Amino acid sequence: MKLATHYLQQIENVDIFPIISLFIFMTLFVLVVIRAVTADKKFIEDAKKMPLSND
Amino acid sequence: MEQQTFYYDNKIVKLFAYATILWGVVGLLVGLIAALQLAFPIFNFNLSYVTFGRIRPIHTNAIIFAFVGNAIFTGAYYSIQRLLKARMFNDFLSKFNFWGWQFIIVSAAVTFALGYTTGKEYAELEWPIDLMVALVWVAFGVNMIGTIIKRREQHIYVAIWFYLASFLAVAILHVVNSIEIPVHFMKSYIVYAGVQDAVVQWWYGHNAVAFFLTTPYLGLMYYFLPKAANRPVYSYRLSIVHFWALIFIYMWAGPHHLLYQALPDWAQSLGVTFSVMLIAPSWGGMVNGLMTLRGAWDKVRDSAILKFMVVAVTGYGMSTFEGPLLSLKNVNALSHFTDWTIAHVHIGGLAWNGFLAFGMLYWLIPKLFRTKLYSDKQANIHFWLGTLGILFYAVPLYWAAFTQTLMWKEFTAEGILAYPNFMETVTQLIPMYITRVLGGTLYFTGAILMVYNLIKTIQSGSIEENEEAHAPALAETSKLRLAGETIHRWLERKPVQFTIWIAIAVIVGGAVEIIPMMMIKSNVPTIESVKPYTPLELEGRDIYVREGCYTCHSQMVRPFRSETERYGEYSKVGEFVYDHPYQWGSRRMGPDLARSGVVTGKMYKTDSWHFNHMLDPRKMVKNSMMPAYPWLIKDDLSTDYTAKKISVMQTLGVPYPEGYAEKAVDDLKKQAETIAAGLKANGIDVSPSKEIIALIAYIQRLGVDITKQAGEVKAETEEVVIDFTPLTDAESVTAGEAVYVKNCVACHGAAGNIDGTGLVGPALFDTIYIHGNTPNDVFKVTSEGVPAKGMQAWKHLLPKKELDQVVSFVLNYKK
Ligand code: HEC
Ligand code: HEC
Repeated sequence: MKLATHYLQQIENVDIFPIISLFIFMTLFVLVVIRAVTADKKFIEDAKKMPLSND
Repeated sequence: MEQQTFYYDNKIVKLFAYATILWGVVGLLVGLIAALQLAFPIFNFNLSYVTFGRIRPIHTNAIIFAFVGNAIFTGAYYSIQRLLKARMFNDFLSKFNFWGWQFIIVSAAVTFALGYTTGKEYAELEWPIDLMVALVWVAFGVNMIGTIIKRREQHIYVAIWFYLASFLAVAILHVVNSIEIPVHFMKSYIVYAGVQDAVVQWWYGHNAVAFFLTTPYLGLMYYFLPKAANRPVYSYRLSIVHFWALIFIYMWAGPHHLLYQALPDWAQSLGVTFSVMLIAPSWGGMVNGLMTLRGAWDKVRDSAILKFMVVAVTGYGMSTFEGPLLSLKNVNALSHFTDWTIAHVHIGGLAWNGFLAFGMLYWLIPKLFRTKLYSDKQANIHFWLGTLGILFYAVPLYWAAFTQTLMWKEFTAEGILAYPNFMETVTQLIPMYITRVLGGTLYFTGAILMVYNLIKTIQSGSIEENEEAHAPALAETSKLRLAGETIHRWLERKPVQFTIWIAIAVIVGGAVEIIPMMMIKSNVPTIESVKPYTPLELEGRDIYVREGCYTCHSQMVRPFRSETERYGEYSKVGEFVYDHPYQWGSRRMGPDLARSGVVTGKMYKTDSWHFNHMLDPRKMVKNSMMPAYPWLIKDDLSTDYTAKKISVMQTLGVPYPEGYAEKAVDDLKKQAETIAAGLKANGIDVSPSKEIIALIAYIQRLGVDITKQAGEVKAETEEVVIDFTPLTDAESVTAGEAVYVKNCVACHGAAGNIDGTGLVGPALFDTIYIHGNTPNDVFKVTSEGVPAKGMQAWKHLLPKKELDQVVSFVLNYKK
């Protein structure tokens, strides 16, 4: 812990952290939306029915 | 393809369902007691084990971890097996999960009642039980991931993603928030101090709501709602977006619990931004749930199960709308420390968690026992009792919150607080608290009805503990991506990889929030005059934690005029650097105590006042619903671990001098003797070895360091101008008597009293005044007070008019 603390204390401009994270999030979000929208229709239909299969 | 035969483990599902029902009833009952205690303090029974400060953690933990926890396991163990077409990975792990969890619950209840707590909300368990939790939780995770690996179904349904994410996130949260150094078997100090501890704690607290009360429940929703409605979820695409967006954003929003508190701006802004963004995926999920029932609303009318689920999902929508609202800074300025928070969590708890669990049980129990529900009518009655219960619970609490926050913030035309006496702002709420008890009772009655209904159902059927099922084995596929396969499906084929990605999504948010906070010194400026607690104060602080005083008292003066006027100087980040754990609190049932020890401050009371107050709060403050703590006066303070505590603190970086641990007990005794001698001079005979002495030492230390440099100088330079003419008209004198009866009797005795023995202050109706006999002298001492002796400066607490009246009354009284 001490060691890590020492190096992290050197970081300047902590505020860059949240900006980076917002950016990461936005990228991920766009990717997920694209993926969901372009997902194969048959696959979606199959997946949807999973809880309903007999048991 | 070859059909394989296997058996679903229904017995484990049954056990978890029973536990859900049992702990649900217990948790609700304890909540009812807590609600009663706030309306009628007599329900604290003057008994340490059941005072509000200990009951409240029992209630919150019983509901979250016992009731909701077992409901999650019930649903997960049922749906995982069906969705993956496989028995659970390992029967021993299933059993270990079940019995381990129940053991934890029982130990939690017992240790909380005995006062073993870390003092961190929803993470109050002491370290040995924390370790048990980690072990059992990992058993659950291994069991689940093992089942995923040996599954007979290609695709992993979205419900299971939610379970997986919950498992990972809770594991991380629990570990990070529980890093503590043991003092003895049942006592430890958290490694974080002050602000850091607060940030880690609310990162945990917020995400416990997210990943324990929300995401696993979304898994249940995505499975049991389609099941009960017998139609597929509205949009599977939406559920994919819902999942990734939700697990990614939730982690970042923690700081919204600490707005306007001593926290760097960037962290507050980050918390607010992400909290607002949370509305989108949450409402996506709600819409997805409700739209699943589109075109089937006639079914909802007839089925109690669907009704429960609809209200549950609506409750989810309401609380996820309100949550971001509460994290806007201007709303939070009003809502924080009031009942608003309590109302908010109960919309989530009673509607979303409670109703979804009830809906699930009503569907699952008949299914498991291969029979029909004993009485649909009773289930419907339960639904209406529960719904009314929620309304009667929430509406009065919102009302209470608005009432109190406005009273706290109201100033008179002269610019002083309109309600300087804190108790006035609480007495107003009592009718609302009584209505809440009614709401809780309705909800509880509904739950009891369910227990009866389900027992009858169980009696009429029989369970197949190992239910036979058939499915083809999963074809061996290449580890490489197949042509035309999307990345997501490829990932999902490889469960371990999938798990790792979920972990990354969850960790990024947490890391961004926590690491800079923990690591960067400039975030926590040190204040020269802030020194470590003395051994006696440290012991007193541990009593404060043990009794759960933080469940009613905050120690965090926010930078608003309404708070600095009432309590004193606002709190600074650097004040808390030696606080393991931090004790800022989250609800002000009683006044903030951060400035209680500041002799020249507005909150100061003498040692003897505190002594009498702890013995019987209602003797000192009319209508107070603070519990009495007579055992603190009876019990001896144990100093067995004082030295150890000091050395653990040293390990944590608290700068006690080298070798101080050995001298600690001597210092403790010296300080205790001084305090006991002071009490004795005021007519209170108490041995210095009692616990109350330590607690008083701690209270009198609060806020002292920070005011050391600034305070004194100011007091001397301020010229006091006296503007007083005694009033003699009967009306003013009568009004003055009323003011006297309300504010002064506790310390000066009844009107006309001339005998000072046994009183906190001197008699006022004799002919000689210590501070001078002229009207101006008497007025001055009343107005400016003698803070060092426990006489408040009433100019801060009473409007000028009332001040004039009460002094006139005292002077006018026929001697
Ligand atoms: C059920 C909630 C509750 C709990 C638990 C509680 N208090 Fe209080 N406390 C109050 C209320 C309400 C008041 C205001 C009325 C009064 O002074 O009694 C108060 C007042 C006080 C005051 C006087 C504040 C002032 O200067 O006016 C002190 C000191 C105090 N409490 C200390 C404690 C300590 C120490 C504990 C734990 C051992 C504790 N309280 C537990 C509700 C609570
Ligand atoms: C918390 C206890 C407490 C309360 C409540 C309190 N007082 Fe006092 N008061 C004291 C103490 C203690 C002293 C003695 C100060 C000293 O010895 O210098 C005192 C002193 C006084 C004196 C000076 C007495 C003298 O002999 O010079 C006056 C006048 C007085 N109080 C008026 C009031 C009035 C009026 C109220 C109600 C508005 C009030 N006090 C409420 C504790 C209290």
